[in-house]
Amino acid sequence: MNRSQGPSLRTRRLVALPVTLVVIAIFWGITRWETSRLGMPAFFTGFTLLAGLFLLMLLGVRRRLPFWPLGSVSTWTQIHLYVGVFTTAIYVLHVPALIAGGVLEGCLSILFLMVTASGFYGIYASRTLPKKLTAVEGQHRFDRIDWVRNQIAAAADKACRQISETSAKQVLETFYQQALSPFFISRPTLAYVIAPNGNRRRRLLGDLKELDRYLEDDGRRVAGQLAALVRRRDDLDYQFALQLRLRCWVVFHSLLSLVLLAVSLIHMVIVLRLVG
Amino acid sequence: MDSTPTIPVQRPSRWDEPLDASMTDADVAWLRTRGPFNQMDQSAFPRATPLSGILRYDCRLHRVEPGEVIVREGDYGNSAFLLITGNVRVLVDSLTDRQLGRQPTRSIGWGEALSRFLRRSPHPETRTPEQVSINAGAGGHQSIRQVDDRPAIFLQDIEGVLRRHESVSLGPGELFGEVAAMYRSPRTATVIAETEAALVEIRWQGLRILRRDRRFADTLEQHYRRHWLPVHLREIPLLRYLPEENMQRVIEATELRSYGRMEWNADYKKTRKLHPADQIASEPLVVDQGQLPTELIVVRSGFGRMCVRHGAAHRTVAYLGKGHLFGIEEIAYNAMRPESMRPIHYQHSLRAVGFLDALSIPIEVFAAEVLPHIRKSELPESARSLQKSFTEKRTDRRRVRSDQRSEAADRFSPDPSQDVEHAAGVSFESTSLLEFIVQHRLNNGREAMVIDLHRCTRCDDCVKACADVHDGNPRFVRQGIVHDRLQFVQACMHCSDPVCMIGCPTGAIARDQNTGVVSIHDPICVGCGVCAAACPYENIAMAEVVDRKGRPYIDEKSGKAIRKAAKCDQCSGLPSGPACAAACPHDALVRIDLSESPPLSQWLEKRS
Amino acid sequence: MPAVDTAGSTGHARVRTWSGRRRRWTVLFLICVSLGAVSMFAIMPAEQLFKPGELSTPHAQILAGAVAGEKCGACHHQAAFSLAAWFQSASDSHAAVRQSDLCMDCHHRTIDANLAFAAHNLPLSVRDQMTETIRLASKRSAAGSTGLLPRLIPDAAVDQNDVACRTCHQEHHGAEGDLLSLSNNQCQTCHSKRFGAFADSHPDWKGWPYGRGGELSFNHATHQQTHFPSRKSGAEKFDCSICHPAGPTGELVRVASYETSCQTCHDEAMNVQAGTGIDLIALPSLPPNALNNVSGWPEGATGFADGEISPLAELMLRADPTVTKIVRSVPGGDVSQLSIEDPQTNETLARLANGYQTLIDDVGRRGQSAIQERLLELGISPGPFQPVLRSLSPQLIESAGQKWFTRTNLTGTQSATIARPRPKIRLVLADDEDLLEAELLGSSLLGEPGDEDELLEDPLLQDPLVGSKDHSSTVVSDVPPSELVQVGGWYRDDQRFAVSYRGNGHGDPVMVGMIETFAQLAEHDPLKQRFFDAPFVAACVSCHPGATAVPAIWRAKRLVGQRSEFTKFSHRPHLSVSALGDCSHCHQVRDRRTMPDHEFVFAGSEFKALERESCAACHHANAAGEDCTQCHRYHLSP
Repeated sequence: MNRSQGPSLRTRRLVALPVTLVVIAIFWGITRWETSRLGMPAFFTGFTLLAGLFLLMLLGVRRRLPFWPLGSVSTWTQIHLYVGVFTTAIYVLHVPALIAGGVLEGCLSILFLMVTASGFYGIYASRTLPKKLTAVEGQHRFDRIDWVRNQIAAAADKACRQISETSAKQVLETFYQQALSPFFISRPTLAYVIAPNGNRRRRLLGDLKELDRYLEDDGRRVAGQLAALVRRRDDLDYQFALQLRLRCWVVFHSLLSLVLLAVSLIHMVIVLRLVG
Repeated sequence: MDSTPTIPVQRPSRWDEPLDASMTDADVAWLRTRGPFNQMDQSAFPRATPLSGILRYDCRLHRVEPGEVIVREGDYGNSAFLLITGNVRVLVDSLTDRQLGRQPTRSIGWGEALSRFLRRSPHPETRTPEQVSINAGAGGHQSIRQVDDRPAIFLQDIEGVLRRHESVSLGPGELFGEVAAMYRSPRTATVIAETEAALVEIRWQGLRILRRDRRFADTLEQHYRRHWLPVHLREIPLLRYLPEENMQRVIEATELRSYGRMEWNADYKKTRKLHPADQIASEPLVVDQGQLPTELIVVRSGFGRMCVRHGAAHRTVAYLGKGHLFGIEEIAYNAMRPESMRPIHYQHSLRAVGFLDALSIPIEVFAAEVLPHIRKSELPESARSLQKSFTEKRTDRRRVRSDQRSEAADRFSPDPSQDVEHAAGVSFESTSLLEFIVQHRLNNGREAMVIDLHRCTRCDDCVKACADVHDGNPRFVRQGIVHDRLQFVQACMHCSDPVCMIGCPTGAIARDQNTGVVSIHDPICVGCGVCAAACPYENIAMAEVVDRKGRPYIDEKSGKAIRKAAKCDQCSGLPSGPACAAACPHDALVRIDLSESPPLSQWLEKRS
Repeated sequence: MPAVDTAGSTGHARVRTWSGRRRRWTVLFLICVSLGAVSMFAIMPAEQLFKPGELSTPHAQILAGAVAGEKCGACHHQAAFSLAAWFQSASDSHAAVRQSDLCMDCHHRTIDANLAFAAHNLPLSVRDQMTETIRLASKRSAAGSTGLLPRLIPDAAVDQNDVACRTCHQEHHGAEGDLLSLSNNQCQTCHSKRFGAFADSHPDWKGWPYGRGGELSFNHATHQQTHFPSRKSGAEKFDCSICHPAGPTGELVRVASYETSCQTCHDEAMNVQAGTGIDLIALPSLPPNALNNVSGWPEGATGFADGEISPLAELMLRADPTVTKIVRSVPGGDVSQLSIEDPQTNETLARLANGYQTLIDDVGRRGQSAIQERLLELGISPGPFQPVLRSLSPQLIESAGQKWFTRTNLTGTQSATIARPRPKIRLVLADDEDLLEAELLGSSLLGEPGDEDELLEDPLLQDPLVGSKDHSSTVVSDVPPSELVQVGGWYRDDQRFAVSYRGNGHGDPVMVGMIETFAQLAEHDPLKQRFFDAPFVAACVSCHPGATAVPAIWRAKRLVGQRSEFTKFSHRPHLSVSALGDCSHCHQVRDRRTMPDHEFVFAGSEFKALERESCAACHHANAAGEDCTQCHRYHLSP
């Protein structure tokens, strides 16, 4: 299997990063050179930037052409990463100020910085969130999360119904109606999706545990089932939040990059037209 | 789990499930009048399994019509056929896929790949009429017909085929297909009915008991030893430099052993849930740790677990697959040691996981005939230091064997000039991963899909890519059993022991001879679901098919929806190769050969 | 779990997949963005939208009032924000117009439009010459070592004969954007001779900043080491700031005024040197036999041929065609030098005497115009002489003539005097007021011209009518006539038969007028020599060597702000460094006492050379900076 061969991820990084830095240094040198000879380095860096943008966009193109042997997407992702770093450096060489003065150019630089920032966040998220996801019990597919959520709600409902003891029935059903049912039925709040935390889970589990002293064996068994379901549901929501985040940044990044490309083309046309 | 109350059940017995429930006593009686059953010694059979029982429960009567394909070259099967009346032809040459109703894997160009992508169907599981049934396209001829309420596939233009291909005619009383049934190897030739004929299909369990009859057994044995053992031995990489005369002596001395149940896949669902200790205990013992080595075990097919006593239980140290050796270290050491040193014992036990077919070469033969012809670098570490005295003898003989070896080499084996690595089994640094793989029989997988969950961002690009190249239908689900950071995804692993192929009535599920990819040929798939039921990993789905407008196909006779088996085809024929692996942006997904450890361990090493 | 259970859902409700949702969001987002873009176009004027950054303040202020559409067009000839124009080639319609041409629309005042795009605004020939000079100089000297760094400076990407303005001046970098910033490498990219750090490899300069002036003659060495210690036994310190005080802007004045810096010591001496002044006319003593044909030559001026023809008189006489040759034949203007034996001498002297008489008559009769005409006759511009004329009353000459010559045919002169066009003089005065003001007001005796005329007029008009010759002669005998005009002015000396001018103080306009008039004579004219050798003239010219030039240079030029030199320097920023408050930190006068005279002369300057090291002490990259543009200017204009 040749796929299992090839350099290790660390070696790849150890090679690619210095290579990128060297290339950046070379371009920095050329820009300095061009500045020194009273040339127009902005043209050089500008066209490099544009080429970089196109190269970066090619990852999206490759992703949409899975039927052609155009190199693996992971290779393209690596190219994308390092070209991204490179392009950011070239951007710094290109602009007089990080955020340009004019309206169009200001928008352009803000766009660029947003795309760059989301890209760097993307690297961070793609490298850290999967481990968190893996650490949580149950590997749910994103498209099935709603379904699983309903399943858990149904299971909770069923668990609640099977109580035979009247005392427990009253205690648990009240609690179920007041606290658990809304929790199981509703989707996670936006705040939770943005910043998942264990507060909700701790509160519910704590309350459930509190109920134990009002319950006998059967009731406790059901309460235990419900607690397990709360945990499952919370894990599910956690998975949902992280997976949504992993998906949303890609959307954000790619949408903005489309606009970025369009605006930079406008910028290029104006510059080429008005240069003196 | 402390169920104190007992539940009385009937103990499952040998013949609870007959091969053919419609076999009658009259059939059995009739069969017993025909050869070779009429010449068999009744007393040779155990009381629990008399000959009549075998005929009743392990056999089935078939009527075949002229032109019907009885077995196909390359198929896996677990039964042999005995011709009662009529004639069949064994084709010496290979038939083309098309003659067997299979679509040969066609290499698709870039343009077609694009147009396929652009013309994806909006409906799931769309098929053209030609894909739904081979009969639809072939005018008056019906390639698939019902013969006595079973579907059968027929060759078109039998006379032409027989004219063009060299063939051997078999007459009443002759047995064929027994090697594939007994030794779990692909059928070596295609057999078609020349005239209307009656056959007895004997499944391998019955075949095995029938060998109690000495004459029958001798016939089988001789046939095997003459025709197949040399082939199997030559497939062992370690013996590739062996001169012909040595090989003859090895062939004479080698014995064939079988362990465990061939239908391991049926038990798998139960055993995978067992505790590892119970699982190991339930596995047939091939060699026990601590014995004095008497033979070298070469795994011919099936899987073996190499374990060592550890505390109160056994710990798995490696698993063996086809071509792997057991005991070479001890035997080489013992053979080369000076007289002054004590011989060592087997360091590990070998157990059959599911089933295990093994060739056993006695130690004396091995030491005398084989050992001098093994590369020093391929010897185990402990024996290498003792090896000096052997080197002189064999230096000049090496080249002679190498070219002959390459012809006989297994198609999937690596370049013969390279050293054979891990000939003694497969092992991982992590015992738990090893146990996990064996426990779940993932070692069967040649193209298993493994996801590194520490890098997978759950973007589902793999699924999307798969759907994009398969007309909108993903051929796998990104879910599966997880061990640590690895997820073994439910995608067809194109197993080294493809149990799904056993029992396919039309040969619609077939393994590509060159690539080893198991794929389904839609036009001849009758939708019986045998393969889906047989796959222990549940990686084959049965799908009801529709046309491009979303209208379901139904059977014109029964009015039932037409179903087709669907599974990963490894994107064979597509220019892209497996689209799932290529589509992963984070190097998280890989199609990997789990029957050996180096690919997986290297892959894990890369991302440590 | 079947492998192709796509939705995995309950099967009833169709759930939109993630990619479906994503597609919907994408479309929605793109619609929003394009709507936003369109509305931006609608709301904002195009030039504001497309402006890549604020203009620098000066340019922005100029364009603040411009009509919207013309704002871009002021500098960008291509600025046409109609969509149709975008698809035409940018160079079609404006093939000849360039952005730099548009710059020159405004900047032609400071930069010569013809040389605006040549490097340094210098013609190619001049630049070639300079390059050659530098090449030869660097060939001779091993100094000015070129390290690796200068070699790394690339060659210019611009045509040095067609340097666009934006090559160096880049706009749209914000209101505070520096249009002038240029790195050392950028400066040197065009140069064939390059160097790295200022301290290590800048070429040495020879003598700079000394020896560039010469308008005023001042020897720092003698003043510091001889004059100041010897005067009042050194009570007054030699202090640079006396002559070079800081001006209102903080920049050092090149030379302070005479009054503040020199007067204390030099006024007295200068008056002494000026003595009794300069003669306009001084009748020579002529032998009687030469005066046969001369009527009314005064008795007192008869005798041996003696006396000099004063330079002013000679100038006037030269204009008389009858005497021109005679005057020129008198060696050194001294009539005593003429040979008595020469039979021509008497004739010469007689004609000379007639010439004098004619001159006096002429001036007495026609006044200033007579003199002006005579100057014009000689090809001398009478302009500089006007202050002389303005102060010299024709009646003074007339009265001298009447007094000295024993003739009485002077009726014509009377009328001429009366007919004197007074308003014209006023007009001239008014015109020249600003020129003369500074000099006149301080020391001039002419308070208000009008008053003065009255004062002068009175005695002169009365004089002939009253005819009290004796009375006046008795007055004369008491006090030397030159002492009558102690604060300066014209006077008549009947003893010497002379009309003279006694100067007073520094910047006397009459003296200035005379000097500038004589400066116009040919270089080797003995008359010019004689005039400038005269002590009363030497008193001016010894300090003002530039006065002999045409046009005369009296004052030291301001060097700060000049645009003709490559090197620029301002003391102002340096003085904020306390150590540099002491001028001698950089400017050290050579010690005359320890240095042999010939060495001192050959050193070229009384200052020790200003070494590069003393600049480089501060001017390196980490302190005061070593940018080329700190000391050098690019745009040169004569």
